[in-house]
Amino acid sequence: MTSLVLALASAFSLANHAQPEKIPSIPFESFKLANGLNVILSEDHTAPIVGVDVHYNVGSKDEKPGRTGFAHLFEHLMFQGSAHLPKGEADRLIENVGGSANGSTSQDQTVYWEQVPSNALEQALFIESDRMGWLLPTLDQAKLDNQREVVKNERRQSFEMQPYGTAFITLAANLWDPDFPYHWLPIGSHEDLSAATLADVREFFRQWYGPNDASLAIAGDFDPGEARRLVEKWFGAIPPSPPPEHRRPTPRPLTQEKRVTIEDNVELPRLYVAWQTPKLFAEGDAQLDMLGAILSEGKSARLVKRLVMDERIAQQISAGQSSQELASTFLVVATPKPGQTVDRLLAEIDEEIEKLKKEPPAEGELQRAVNKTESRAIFGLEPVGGFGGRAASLNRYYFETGDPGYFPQDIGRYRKVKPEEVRDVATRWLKKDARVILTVMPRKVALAPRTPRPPGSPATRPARPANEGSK
Amino acid sequence: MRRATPFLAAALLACAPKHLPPSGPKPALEAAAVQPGDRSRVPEPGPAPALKVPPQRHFQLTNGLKVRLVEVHKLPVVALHLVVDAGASYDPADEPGLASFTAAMLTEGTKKRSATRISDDLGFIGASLSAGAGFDSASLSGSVLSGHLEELLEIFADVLMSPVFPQGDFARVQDQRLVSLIQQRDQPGATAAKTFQKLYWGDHPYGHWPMGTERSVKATRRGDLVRYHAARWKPRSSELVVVGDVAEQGLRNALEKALGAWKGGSTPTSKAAVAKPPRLQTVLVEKRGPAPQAYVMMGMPGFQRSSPDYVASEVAFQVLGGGTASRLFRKLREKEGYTYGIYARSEARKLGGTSFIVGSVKADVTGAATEAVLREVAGLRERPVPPEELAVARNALLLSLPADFAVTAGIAGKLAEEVVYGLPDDYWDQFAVQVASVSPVDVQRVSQKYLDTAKLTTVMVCDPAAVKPQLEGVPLGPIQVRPAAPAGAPSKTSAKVRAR
Repeated sequence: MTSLVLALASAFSLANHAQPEKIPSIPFESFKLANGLNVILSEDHTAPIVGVDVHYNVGSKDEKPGRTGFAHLFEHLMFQGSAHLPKGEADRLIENVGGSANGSTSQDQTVYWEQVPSNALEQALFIESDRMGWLLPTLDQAKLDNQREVVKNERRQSFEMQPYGTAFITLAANLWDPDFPYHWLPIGSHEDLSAATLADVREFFRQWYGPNDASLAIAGDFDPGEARRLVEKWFGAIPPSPPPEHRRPTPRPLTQEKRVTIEDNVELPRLYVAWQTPKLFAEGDAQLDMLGAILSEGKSARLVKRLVMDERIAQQISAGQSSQELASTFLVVATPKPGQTVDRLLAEIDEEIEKLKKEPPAEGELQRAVNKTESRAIFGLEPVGGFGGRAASLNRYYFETGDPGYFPQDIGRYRKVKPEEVRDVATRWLKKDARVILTVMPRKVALAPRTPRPPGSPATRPARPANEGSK
Repeated sequence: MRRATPFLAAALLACAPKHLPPSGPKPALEAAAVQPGDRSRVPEPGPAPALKVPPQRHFQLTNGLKVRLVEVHKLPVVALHLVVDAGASYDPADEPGLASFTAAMLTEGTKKRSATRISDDLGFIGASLSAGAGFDSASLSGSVLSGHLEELLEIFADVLMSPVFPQGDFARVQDQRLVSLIQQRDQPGATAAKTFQKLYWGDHPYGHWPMGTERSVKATRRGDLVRYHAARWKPRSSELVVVGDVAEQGLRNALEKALGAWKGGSTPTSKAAVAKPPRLQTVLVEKRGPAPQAYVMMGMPGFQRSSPDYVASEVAFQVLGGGTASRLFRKLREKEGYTYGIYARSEARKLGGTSFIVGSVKADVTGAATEAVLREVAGLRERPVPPEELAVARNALLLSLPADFAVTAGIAGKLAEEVVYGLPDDYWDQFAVQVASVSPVDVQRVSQKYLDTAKLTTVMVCDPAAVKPQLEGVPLGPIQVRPAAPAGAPSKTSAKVRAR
């Protein structure tokens, strides 16, 4: 019987009990290979599944000017085969064992994972190690060009074709100054994607993808001694890279309220109010998480109660802290009902936030927020692999705190939050004169006749972004 | 009890180590002793772990409600999933959306709890609870840490048995649903699906959007929901799935206490419905504003969930467009770069099914991408799948089952599928055996039957002016162009809604 199960089953109960019990930990062991690769092992034999997760300490925050979107494009290239795996072979191998695999790129980190039946652990390690050590020999222009198109299609599908899809791009560009790397999103721009070259790919790989700035986590059904041997066998020969230099810039604080309006093909306007806030795990971060829940989680949350339940002037509202390594964002998003204005929403949102600056939330409000957070965290531990699964959590905590087993401390932060602290972070961080207010307005289109356009008019040509480069 | 003593837990907490020195915790294992692997050969996987479908236990409450339980004691969590024979296929022709609206109102007020009180009580125990309706069933499902199961059950029973559909909350939810539908005008996926559903199924019970239309939601009255709930949400036409850290006897007692008072008989089940004869047709729906892509939805006659062809077809769809090793993914994305994602899947329901190919492709290659899809389908129909490729598809389906059964929500989902479609307890074991025996001949046969592009209905949300010329000569049947939904502020729901 595995330890995690027992530890969790016995240790956990919500904090509304008279004496909250100890928060569980995720048992693990960790070591480093001679080449600097960090390895984390966490056993759980309750199902014959194993999660393999590799985090590279690089994200779009590390991109250079003129190459936005590159970290993400590079992630795609890591799925294009490597010296000992022809293109498509890794996908075939994973499907053939009944596994799943994916990757993702954020502003802070890049993640690759496989979740496979336990008999296929060595294959998953082979795939990840071949990527880490032997990507470049078979990486050619055709692969780059192909994935450049795929990523541009990802941008079109997930941003340009979606209502309000480009709002976050505009928001980031206004919240952070151009020298601060959260100024752009990982998806980047068509122009920069077009500009990426094979030389960029090689340079990026050497600079950021060394084993010494990566971490491999394995969680689930395996023997730790055997896993360690396999990790040595497949990753041991990968040479380290020169230690990468991570910029740790601090953002230029906002000094005024900045108002921006864009148009989109939407039925209803939408309001975004964004503040710069303390980075992940910094003082104030947990309190801002709780503030977000008190404002918008559940039907009696302050903003939901007033704007959605009682006055019914908003179709939707959300508020919350989005925590990141260099700086965080506190964001309120609200959509007015037809006939209502964003101005009225903004005024009432401000009123509710001002109330919380004067009067701390009730104990019960805070307790609900804490309990929901704890409960979600426990459910999140269930899968061993995948986005946000146990292997991913261990790796994330390793990069964010240096301690893969930070889970109890992370969750424990919320139990310590006091109502007055929620009031204080609202006062300190949610200032009216240091924020960005973005409004997306429905594009005014003349109610033109819907008959076909005359042939030869500009609009009849196939849509082709003007900035798209030729290959 | 399967719970550890506090002593053991404390010991385990204490032994979770921080960073170990590079030599590691086991000095017997020396790094230098491990030789680098021979990379010229990919390591073979060992024998696949056996599929162990956890045993289900069945019992019935005194009110006739059937319960099936799978005990899983790996984390202190429990999932509840009540399947109710009250899905959107029962929606009246003139009131689409009724089943879904009714389900949505369960958590909006009961005899003893207001909508906010339900939300607060759930929040305090860190639980989730929601109700909804698809075509073939409605459901009420929730999850909670097992220490708070009884509290969740009390709320669960309250919303199930005593919803009062308060007039004020009804008006609020009605307006929210109406505005959601208005917002969907700008969502390519929802627009395509709504158009397809009507075009393909016509007057069949599946021929509408489960959420209804702007018009039908406006016309719905509170009394309609009350009547629908009274008619279809009954214990003898429902079954409760429970998965997680709970023991049978304790659960029986808790359920009897919480749900024993739920009374009522059964409801008539759906009758078979006649599908509209399929025909080759294409509709281009204009997307408002720039359309750098076309959202493409292609559908053909499929099969019912109960069809003996189900398993072989699942394999065929896996080969065609089931994952990253599939033909559509490799060809349209990894070779041509036409798309970020395109897939094929069967929607096999109680009364009928559809074979779908869906993806977003770059606007100026829509014609080429559509032709490529048709070529891949033709390839599957005309030539047997090579054995190695078939083996990968079969393995992807059957060897992934243990992962589905590794998490509470996954088990609950598999069980709910058994309940909705009347599948036996050993269904997933049988499924695995049958998948393993699917042959190239089987795949070709079901492809010819269920991927019949002569009966294809195609919907694209796009810039028709850019896309239509590209479709010249592509065998998609007559092409109809529909303008985008009219823009502008929609009319509001009438504030004065009559109670009936």
